[in-house]
Amino acid sequence: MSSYSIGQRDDLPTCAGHKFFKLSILFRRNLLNQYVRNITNVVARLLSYSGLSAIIGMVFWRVGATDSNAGLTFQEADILLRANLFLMNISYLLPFSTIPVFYADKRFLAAESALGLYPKRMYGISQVSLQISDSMSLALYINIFENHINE
Amino acid sequence: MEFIFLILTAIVEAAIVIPMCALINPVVSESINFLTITSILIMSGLVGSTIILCCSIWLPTQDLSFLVGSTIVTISLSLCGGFLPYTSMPDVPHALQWLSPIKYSFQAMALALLNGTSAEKVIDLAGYNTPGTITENMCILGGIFIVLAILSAIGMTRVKEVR
Repeated sequence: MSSYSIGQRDDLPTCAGHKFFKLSILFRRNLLNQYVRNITNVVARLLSYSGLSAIIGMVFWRVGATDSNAGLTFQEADILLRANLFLMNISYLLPFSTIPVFYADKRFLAAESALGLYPKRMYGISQVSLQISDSMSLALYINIFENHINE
Repeated sequence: MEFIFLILTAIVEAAIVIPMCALINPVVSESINFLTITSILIMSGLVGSTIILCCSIWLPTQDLSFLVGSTIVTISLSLCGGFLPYTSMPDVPHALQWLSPIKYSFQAMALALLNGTSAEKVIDLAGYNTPGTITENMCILGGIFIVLAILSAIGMTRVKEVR
């Protein structure tokens, strides 16, 4: 068996390079299955986000703009926050469209891990690690922004 | 992977909504304003997506995931303070507001838009100042995300093939 075979059992001794190779294979497989080969779903979701954003923009047209030198009144600010609330609706409700994608992927995980192609924890790491590291970088950015405001 | 897609959707969303709704904080530059709102939208989308991922991994069917996920999000929305300010909420919902991830997204956005402006007092009047900075709200949101992500990862290790 080649040292790069992904069919190697989890309980056999493996080197770090081999594990990284398996991880990269999983990344590429997920990218292909969920996005590249599922382009209709990706385009439909993008259109949905864009369309809803445009509708919110039309409904709350220029609510944050004011001609007054004194800035927004409390009532205007309240309407601005309602636009904000609808943006939150988009962020939290539209991910429901990914449920079938997650289930299809779960079937792959169950079948492949039963064959011993890779450890389940590696799949979990591949799905979660990128998101965690990027959420950290976002938090860092926000911190820098806030320090900039407070200066 | 989903994160890359969420960045794309948040950029599209921000690019459309910010000029149309004039979601601009005059105290900061336009580019910083855009990046901040986009970041909050990305983080919100990430938490929303991870709630669904967690439900999908732990629950056996799509129907159940949809039911449980939509229940969680609907309750979170009702407690986020956007429909009723915290200062007007009865005691029990007021105590439960801390569990709502949408509260922190909503507050971060409110702070990004109103901090330092003439309408800043709305934040205090409506009780959107707990926690009172965007960073604190984002950190709590990040904490919720990490807990959900770890729960999802644990759920993945328990997935079994059913024939």
